[in-house]
Amino acid sequence: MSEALVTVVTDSGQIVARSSESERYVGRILDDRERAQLNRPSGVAVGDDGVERIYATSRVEQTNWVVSAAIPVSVAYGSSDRLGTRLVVISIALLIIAVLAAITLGRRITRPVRALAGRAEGVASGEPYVDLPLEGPRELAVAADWFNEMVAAQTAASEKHRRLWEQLAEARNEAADRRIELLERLAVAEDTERNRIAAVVHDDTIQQLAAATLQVEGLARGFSAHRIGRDEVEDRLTEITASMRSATESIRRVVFDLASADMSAGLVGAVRAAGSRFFADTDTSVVVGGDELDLDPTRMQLVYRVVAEALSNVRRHAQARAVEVMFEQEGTYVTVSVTDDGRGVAPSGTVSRPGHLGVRLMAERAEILGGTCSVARRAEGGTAVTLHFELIASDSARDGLLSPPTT
Amino acid sequence: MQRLSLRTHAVLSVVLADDDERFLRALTRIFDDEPGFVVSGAATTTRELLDLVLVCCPDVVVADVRMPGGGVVAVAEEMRALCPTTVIVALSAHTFGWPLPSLECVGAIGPLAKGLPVSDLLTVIRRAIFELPALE
Repeated sequence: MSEALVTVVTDSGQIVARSSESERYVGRILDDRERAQLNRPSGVAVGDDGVERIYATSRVEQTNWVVSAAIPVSVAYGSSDRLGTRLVVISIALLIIAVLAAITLGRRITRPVRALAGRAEGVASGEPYVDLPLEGPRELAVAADWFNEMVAAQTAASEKHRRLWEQLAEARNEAADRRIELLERLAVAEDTERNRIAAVVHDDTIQQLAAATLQVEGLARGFSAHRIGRDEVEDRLTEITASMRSATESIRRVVFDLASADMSAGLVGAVRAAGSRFFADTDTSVVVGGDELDLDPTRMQLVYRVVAEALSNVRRHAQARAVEVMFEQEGTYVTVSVTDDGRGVAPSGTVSRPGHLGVRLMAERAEILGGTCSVARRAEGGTAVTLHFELIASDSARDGLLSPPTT
Repeated sequence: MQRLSLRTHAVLSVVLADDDERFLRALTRIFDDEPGFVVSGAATTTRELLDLVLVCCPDVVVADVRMPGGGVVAVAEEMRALCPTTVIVALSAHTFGWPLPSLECVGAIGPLAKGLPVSDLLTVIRRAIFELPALE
């Protein structure tokens, strides 16, 4: 308490006693500022020695004295300053700890985030994916788990996509192969058709024209040599006329075979017309019936050709009294049958027998249709040609619907 | 020369064969009407042709290349074995752009086109009979 200062002052402001340096201050009159301070019960003031002090005043009863006690502020607050310093040190230490904790925490957060970014970049560049470890804060672990699941789903989708592409490519290749196969079949069928027509021309037309030529030449030679008379000339001319007419009819049949069928009355109508034509000069009855088919025009011509070939075979070989053509559609499957009551094909069938171009042609056309054609001897006598195939998309494309079977 | 001398004044016997009856009938009439020829027989199958050759041993056979049973080519050598002096002439409706080889290797002439002028056919036969060089 050596720093404490006690001063006794009269009401008039004269110092009567002072705990230190009394010889210097006793008797001194306070100035107005100092006297005003004495009138306040306490406060902080700076003395003329320059020391800031906390002071308190009290009037001495029954005297005109005022006692003032003061201690330096530094003494008064010394303990609290030490506490403040301690607090500052502790605060700095805590701050350092907090910074270190923040750095550690930041690393715990940034490492999974960096790993996530790295994986995302790897996925984008197509690298093989390795699952992210589920580390770091819970939210980041959950995000990593989701990312793993997302990549797994995306990988599965990519795999599915790749398989679909492979299937698509395979289907495209199969379609290309099928197209080539079809073209080859068409080429074979066209070649067979040419051979068939050539055979018809050879076996029929040329023979008849050659016979007619011989008849004309024979007539000319005999007439010029006076070996034949007028009556015989007439007979021979009649024969020649018959030969020429037969040759003309033969050529007409070839042309009829070459030309596309008129489908304006539908397939059944076209076959009915062909049947009437084929058997016009015979006793064979022709019945054509069943469902009208809604086919692609090209495929309709193919079906017509198969049936026409079968009818032509009946006409040339079967010696039948009756022939029936029946068109039947069940769902998307079509069966066309040509049956006759003639002498029938050989039991082994004729499809594979060489030289039977017409039958081979029917089989080839059936294959182009994507179906089959069988030629068989009927148990009750005669031959049955059966064409079986399935409708395809282009068959119903014109109307958008497969035509229902009609009864 | 022996064959030439034998046939100089003889009527030549002919066997005809074709599966087309109308052509065969016209051909038969040609040779029936032609002086110097006599038709010994007409066949519509290869088998019938061989039987006729066996029976008649004709001077000339005029037959189609294609007939039921194989045609004239199939039996040409057999016919020559039966009748070595028989002249075999093959006819065909296929002579244009058709892969028919010469039948010289089987001892036959042809194939000649059906529709060939009768005079040309007769000339070919006569030159073969009298062993004259064939015309180009």
